[in-house]
Amino acid sequence: MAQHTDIIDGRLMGIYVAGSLVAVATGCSLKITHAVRESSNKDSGKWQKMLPGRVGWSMSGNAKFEFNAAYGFADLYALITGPTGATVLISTKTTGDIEYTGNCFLESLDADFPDSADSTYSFSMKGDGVLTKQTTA
Amino acid sequence: MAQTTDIIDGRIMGIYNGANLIATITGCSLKISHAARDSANKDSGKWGHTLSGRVGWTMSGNGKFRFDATHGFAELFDLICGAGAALPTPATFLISTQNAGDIDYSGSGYLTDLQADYPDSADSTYSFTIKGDGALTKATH
Amino acid sequence: MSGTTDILDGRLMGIYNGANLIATITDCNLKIQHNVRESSSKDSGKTSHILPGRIGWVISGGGKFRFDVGHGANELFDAITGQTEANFIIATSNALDFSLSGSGFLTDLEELFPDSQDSTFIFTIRGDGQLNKLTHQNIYACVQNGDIYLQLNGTGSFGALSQVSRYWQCMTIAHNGNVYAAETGGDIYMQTGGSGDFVALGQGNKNWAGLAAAPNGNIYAAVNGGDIYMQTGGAGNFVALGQINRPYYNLCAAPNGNIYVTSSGDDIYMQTGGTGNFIALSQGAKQWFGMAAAPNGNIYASVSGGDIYMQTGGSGNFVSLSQGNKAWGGMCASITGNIYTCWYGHDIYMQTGGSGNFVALSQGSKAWMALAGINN
Repeated sequence: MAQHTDIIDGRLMGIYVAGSLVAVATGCSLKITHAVRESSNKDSGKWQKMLPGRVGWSMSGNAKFEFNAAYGFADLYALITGPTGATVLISTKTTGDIEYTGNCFLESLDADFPDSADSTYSFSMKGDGVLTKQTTA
Repeated sequence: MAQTTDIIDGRIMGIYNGANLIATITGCSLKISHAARDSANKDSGKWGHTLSGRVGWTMSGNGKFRFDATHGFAELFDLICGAGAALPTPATFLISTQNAGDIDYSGSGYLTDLQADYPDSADSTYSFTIKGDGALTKATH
Repeated sequence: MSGTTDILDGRLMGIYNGANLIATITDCNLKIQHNVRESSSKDSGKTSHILPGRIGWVISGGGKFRFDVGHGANELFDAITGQTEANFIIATSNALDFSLSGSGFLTDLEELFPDSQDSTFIFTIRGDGQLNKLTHQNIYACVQNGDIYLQLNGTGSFGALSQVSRYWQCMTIAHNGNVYAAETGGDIYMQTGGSGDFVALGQGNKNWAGLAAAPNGNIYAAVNGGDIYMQTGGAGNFVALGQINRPYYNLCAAPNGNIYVTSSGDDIYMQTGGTGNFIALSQGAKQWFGMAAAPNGNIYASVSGGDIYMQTGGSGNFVSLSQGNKAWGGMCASITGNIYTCWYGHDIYMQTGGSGNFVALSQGSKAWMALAGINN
């Protein structure tokens, strides 16, 4: 299948932890930050002076809570309580699309059990080192 | 025309930068604050004790963005940035209906915030904030 | 054609990363903040006393996520992870509308993929230094022993401005809209705010050979066989920088603040970040003449009797663009990324959007010497 064209339906994108797709997901996101340094000084004149700083990234997602999920809350629970790092990938798994991957630690894992409604959970992962952009093979 | 009676329709109040009405605004406001000092101490008993502090004021507004405005975003941009390498300078601002008998408020201040928003297939807008430097004067127009 | 009238439909405003429009955006906004100092003291009486402080700015936007766009979230990924400083512009496509541009860093990029809904992305750019309001994309050209010409809004013919015929040698447009032109063996002249006559600045008769306007407002002037001079913040005298006397010609200022100068038969030199000495870049002893800095960071240099060369992204060697050996003169870039140069005694040429060949604009055979646009 060729690269997806047009605006991407969010449904197509998934988070894979150590190769396993986080199941019954309802959303996922990738966030990259560049913590520029405010380096204004007397020589800067009247405008703020910025210099490059450190780049960081995180991935997060949310899903329906199932006890029998192929890869779900229980697996992420093991990761966060390890605590163990893992390789994470956000991808459509469609050849020609762009995917992002790196090593991370699970930072938060929250589960919610409302009355007479779907149980859900959400998680966020903080990147450790490089986030690599690559074309999906 | 005599003083405006009854509840003021917000539409008739404008913000002026010097003699120039800031164009196409959709709202404006004036905020005056008195940073009273909390001076409660052991001798104050169970009630708080407040003393006077310093008074400050801000004016703010928002409007529709136009490139061809007589005195709009472009002019406020020049004010907030200052000319060339020079520091921004204070300007006189007035909030007024321009109707004889109504009350005007005016003072010198710096533009401290200027924002423009350009949403898809909707009106572009801008907003601004002026921080007062020194007295805010109340006068009958 | 006129500027956009009436309340602006937000759809018309876009954000450019250099010459590239960020695709499929649904929102963009600009925030400028002046951090005044609270300077009240006992002498202030009962009201606050405020003094000016430092100004900062942020551009942010959001859009729909696609893999198949020219410049979208995936390109912004490269910018943020590369910690790349770039020139960003918020503008409509109407050349008569003002635009706002400045150098900055991408500080936040978030991509969101909700179930069975459009994927989206949001981003934030934090400014480094000045935010410039640019009212025109005018291109100026000067003729040796002739007039100064203007191409209004970067389209159509170059029209004469009826200035006194002088040995015009070089030009630049400052970010505040003032236009400079210098006469070799004469003075430096300035047109205030892009209108009216060019008036002498009393800088003394020198072999002025190059002019450039830095993003921070400083104006540079090079003397052939002499020093390099700088006018701080676009006001006052041009002061010598104490550089070795060389056969300097044209200068250009890159969006990142680096200043370049050609030295004919010698090399190209660069001052890093607008401070310190100009250092040789070891580009070979060619008859280097014109220079221009494109909004995307590419640097161009022309060789009189030779080719046109380009340094990609402001680093590495200047590589030949195979445009043929001509008596190439001065160069400039427009805010949209068009690159102009002139062939002395022949015509003005333009490369569209920074790629492809330089094509003649049929402006007549004149002793075209120099050009000025944005980031010259």
